[in-house]
Amino acid sequence: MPTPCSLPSPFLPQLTSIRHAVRLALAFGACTVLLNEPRCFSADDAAADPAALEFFESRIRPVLVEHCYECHSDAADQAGQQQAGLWLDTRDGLRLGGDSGPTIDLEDPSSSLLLSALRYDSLEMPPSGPLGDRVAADFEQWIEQGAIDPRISADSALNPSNLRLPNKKEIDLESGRNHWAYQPIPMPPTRPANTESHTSTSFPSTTVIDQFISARWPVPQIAPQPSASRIELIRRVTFDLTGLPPTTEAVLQFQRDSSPDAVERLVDSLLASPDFGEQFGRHWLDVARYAESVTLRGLVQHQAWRYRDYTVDSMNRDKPYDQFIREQIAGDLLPSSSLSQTWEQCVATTFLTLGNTNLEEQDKEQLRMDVVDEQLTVIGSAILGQTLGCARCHDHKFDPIPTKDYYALAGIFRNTQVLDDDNVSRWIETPLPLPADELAIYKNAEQQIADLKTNIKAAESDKDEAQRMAHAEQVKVWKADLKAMQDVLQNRPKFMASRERKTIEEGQILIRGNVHNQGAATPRGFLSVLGEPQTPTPMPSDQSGRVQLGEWASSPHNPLVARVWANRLWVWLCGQGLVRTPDNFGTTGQPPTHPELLDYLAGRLIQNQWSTKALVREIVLSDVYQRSSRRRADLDAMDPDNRYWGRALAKPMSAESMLDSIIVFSRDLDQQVGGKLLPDSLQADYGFRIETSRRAIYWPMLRNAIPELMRTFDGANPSMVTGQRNHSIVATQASFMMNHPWVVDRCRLAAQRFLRDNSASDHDRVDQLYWLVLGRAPVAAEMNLLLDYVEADRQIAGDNSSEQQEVRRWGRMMQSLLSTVDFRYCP
Amino acid sequence: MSSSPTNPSRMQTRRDWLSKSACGFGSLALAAVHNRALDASDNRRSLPLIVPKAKRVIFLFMQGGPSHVDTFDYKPLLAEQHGKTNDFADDRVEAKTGARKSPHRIMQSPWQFQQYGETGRYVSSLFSETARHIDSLCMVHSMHTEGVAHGPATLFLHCGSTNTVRPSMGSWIHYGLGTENENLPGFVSLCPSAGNGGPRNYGNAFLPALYQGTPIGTADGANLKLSNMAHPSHDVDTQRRSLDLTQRLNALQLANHPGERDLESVIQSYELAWRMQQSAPNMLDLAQETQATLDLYGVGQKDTDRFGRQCLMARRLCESGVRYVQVNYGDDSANPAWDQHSDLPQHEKHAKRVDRPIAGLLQDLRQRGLLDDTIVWWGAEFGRTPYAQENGTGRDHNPSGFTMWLTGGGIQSGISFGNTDPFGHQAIENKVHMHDLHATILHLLGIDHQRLTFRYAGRDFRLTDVHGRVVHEIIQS
Repeated sequence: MPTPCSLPSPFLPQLTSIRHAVRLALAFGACTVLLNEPRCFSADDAAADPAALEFFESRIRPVLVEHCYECHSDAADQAGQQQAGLWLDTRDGLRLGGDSGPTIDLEDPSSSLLLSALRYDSLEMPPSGPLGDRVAADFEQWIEQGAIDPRISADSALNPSNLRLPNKKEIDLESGRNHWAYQPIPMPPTRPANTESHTSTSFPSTTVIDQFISARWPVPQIAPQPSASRIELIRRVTFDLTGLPPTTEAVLQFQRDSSPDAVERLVDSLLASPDFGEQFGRHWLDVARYAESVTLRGLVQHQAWRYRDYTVDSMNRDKPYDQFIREQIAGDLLPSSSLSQTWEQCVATTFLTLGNTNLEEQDKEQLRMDVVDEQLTVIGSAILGQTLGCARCHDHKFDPIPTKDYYALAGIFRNTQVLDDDNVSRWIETPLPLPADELAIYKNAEQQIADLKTNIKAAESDKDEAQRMAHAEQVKVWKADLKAMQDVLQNRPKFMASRERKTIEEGQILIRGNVHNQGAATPRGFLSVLGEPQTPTPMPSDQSGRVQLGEWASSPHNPLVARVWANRLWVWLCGQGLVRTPDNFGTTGQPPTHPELLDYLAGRLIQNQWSTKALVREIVLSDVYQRSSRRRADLDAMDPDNRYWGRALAKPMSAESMLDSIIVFSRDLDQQVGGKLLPDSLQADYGFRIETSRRAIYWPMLRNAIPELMRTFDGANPSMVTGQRNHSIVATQASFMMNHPWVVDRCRLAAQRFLRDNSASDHDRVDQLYWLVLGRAPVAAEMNLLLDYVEADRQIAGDNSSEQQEVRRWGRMMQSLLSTVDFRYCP
Repeated sequence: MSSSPTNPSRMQTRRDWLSKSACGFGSLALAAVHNRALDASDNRRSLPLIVPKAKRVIFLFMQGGPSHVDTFDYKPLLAEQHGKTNDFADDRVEAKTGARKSPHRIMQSPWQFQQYGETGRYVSSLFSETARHIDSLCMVHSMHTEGVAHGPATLFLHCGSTNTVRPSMGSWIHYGLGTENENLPGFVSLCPSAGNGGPRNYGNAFLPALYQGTPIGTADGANLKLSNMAHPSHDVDTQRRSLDLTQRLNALQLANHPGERDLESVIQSYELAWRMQQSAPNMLDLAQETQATLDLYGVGQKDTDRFGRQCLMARRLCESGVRYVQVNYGDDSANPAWDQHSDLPQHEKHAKRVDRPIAGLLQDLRQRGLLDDTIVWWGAEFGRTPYAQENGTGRDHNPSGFTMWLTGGGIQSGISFGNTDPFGHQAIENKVHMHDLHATILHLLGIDHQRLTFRYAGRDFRLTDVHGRVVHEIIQS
């Protein structure tokens, strides 16, 4: 293609933004060539051709001034109205074009972007409505005649040094690297240097964690809160590690156990319990935006539960966190030494497919990019604590994440397919690997189905009617067999899969995030602010690069992943993070209150082979975790936000713990681990309801049918990364506790069973009820209140107080206890 | 402990101003007692002061997309060229194939149009009752939006985004202005569809849970009441004694946790819930209405009973201080109510069910003086094509040009704004994007759409993203 400015032609189509033009110009010295081209870019032409000049002044300039300058000019820039990086108030600006590329094409005038925009064929400009055919024809004529334009000022010749690039400041990666979160994690983890000054009898600092806390303690004269009582401590640590209330027996035993390692033994037994995986698996599901259906059309994802079970199992087996991450990003591509490992690694990648995607987006290119964007947003927040999504349309405004990096990462996921396109696209369900004998069953079923279909077809298409009649009975049998075989095949274990695309492509910047506006190619890669610029990781030409991403994202040298995970554990155990924005470690997030402690915890995680349980154990065995949560005036005055951790935080009970506890109180908890609860036949989730005695984590998480208790009590929104749950106190929660039939029924069931086994006096029953619901004995005033209530209620009911009334009475008392703040908050 | 919405100093400026403003917002009491999530991300203090012309909104959502060329956008050319084939830039074809133009058969409207009112504007026989109010309606004929399919377009209509999870418009408004009645939710969606985004269409997304829409009723028009407003079996006295027990126990426990405001808030929330359950059912009870009013809305008549009840309840909720009420006419299916891809005459059935209740609502609001500061807004996720879909008897989706109408609360009466092309296919004159309409409605309520933001994941989000232009031309000066 001949070009007006003698640029090497392969580069011309890429001249899509000012910055890119500049880069090209600098790289190839093309600018000189461009400037020397006489026909298009010399102002002398205009001076020499008054007719052309007159045409511009009468037909072109007025239109530009009236309809375009409002958003594409210096004046617009000053008024904050400037749009799309496009300046139409100078010749140079008009020719260079904006984010969408050059506005005019002198070689092929009719294909100029400016014309198609005026005609509303591509962009629609001006937005107030088309200016009509006459104006478009004028512009076409003007371009055909060389786009003569006298608007050249002395200082804005087409020279890169004079180009105005407002808002186009290059991100300075070097200074960006100074941000605290991008600093290397010191290895081996260092202990605080000087702690003696604050170590005193009031602040014993027994563990390394406590030494870090004490090192930053601001007022030595004020002591932090002492340890919580035994009874508070076992309640706190049992809920935190398992999500369930401690049994009365466990509380009493722990109260009596005065041995120095009593807490350690308690913690170890809780860590070893399968309930731990359910509690921490649920935490991870919050972060992984786990659900089992998509909102639009309520389509049910019948294989998603395997991923839930995978997280529970991974937490229970204390899978190293780095491996946990690698498996979820690239498990299907990782080597495996056994069938069960392959199985597990495959299910892990369901993580990538869980987005609440708009499957019926009709523009499938847009859909593909929306999926990639969702994946990057989730991986960014969940694993790296970075707000990557901000760089989709422009360089990140606050963090050192250029758009180029976004599309380098996007390139990896653009080569990974999680949907099959259709009018309503569909996630991909792939059979899981099986041992030979099991596989044979399904292979056999497939074969039989094929044979049966052939037979049925042959019999039904027999031209001889008598023959067809004769075969009718046989066909019936075959059809029944066919159905049976199809059912067998239906039950073959599958998972929600990611698959590599057949053709692997490099990344491509999309200008302003517009999928139909491709910019420069960009090689696949990671965040340059964290990388070594000299040695980019080579990307395979036959794979997406997820394996490499998984390695990079879980590397001990990646400063984010261990810090983010250590902080998440701190959030879940202590109620607030050391970084109080656990999903955002960028500059718009908050810095850590105790940076050295966070580094130490991250270092310990790496040092202990990424063991989550070891880090949880270390945290809960610290004084700071075990402190009393009571407020104290001097502490409040010193540190109203508790940033120095002078006390523990009373944590609101999660929706799941509330639900589980209520089932426990009715002595009905089914503690089976894992499995699918959704009926296989369910197609759409609208109005789906389930009541089960399984733990809350196993209640189907359907995006259009989130159980009311979870919605009411700030359960995680399953469409977004939730590192820290909301904590709201609203009247609807009170209404739920007072009136919801499920609560009422569960309390009655609990009362029934409770009364059956507690034939003792009212006094003893009240005592038992307190132990059951609140894990402690009532104080005298509480006892009196409840006894008075029982007596008064019996009087109102009259002498003939029936057994049923008694059940209701104690059910109401149970409900009242559930409504108290000592139940709603963990001490 | 950081500050909360109950902290009087927190919203002092805005509250002071609102209470003194012409519209007299009065109390901005929030139905939440406390919400920690608000503290870090609340950006409302920077809200500029625009004089509000309206206090509340009723949105009449015609799910599925009624055809504008068969209702409010009269196009005589369709009858003239009926049956002829023409090239159109069909949105679905373009999204799927990239082809700009494709041939389609022009289809005239099966319904007669006639002029109404002093403004003499055309309305089809489908909405002959609503047409009686034509002189007070502002027709926006040049709407265009995002999303060719119901799901994305419905989410865009409600949340300003086709795909990503964003708060609903009612949530934004509730967040921006609070509520006028602490015994009722600030944002109610009556009989919302479970489909096409379902709860996301009235969801709070990253805004605190307080601002989520409260659904009342199901898409089939049933269960028109707030949930958990009464104990399943106990009488009021029994329940009050239970609550007294709870609160006495709470008082004892609170003494053990001095200074824990959260715990005090929990205790208050029970009293608030109790007050709500005493007053809310009463507020929603249509039996208190006169027969004349019931008749006005068509309550008790076969076709109009369902939507009439919803419209009447919307008026009651507005009177009681609810900030944003959405009245839904739709269902849970993938092809909801007005979605006549084939058999366009089905529109008649739907129009019959909504026309009279809508006309009744407008009349009732006016009679009670509520229309002056209530914006009533009618429309759908998109309109329909002026040509037959696949040569059949229906029309496909059309996000490129359609009509919405507004009235009340500062909207210019009796004007038509913008135009589609002569076929009624694409908006061409004074185009109004859905973002623009959102911006305009916020403006009428006294909110600058560029300034009502919430910080989430490192970014200040707003309803109109980085778009939106207030359409001053349709606002009363």
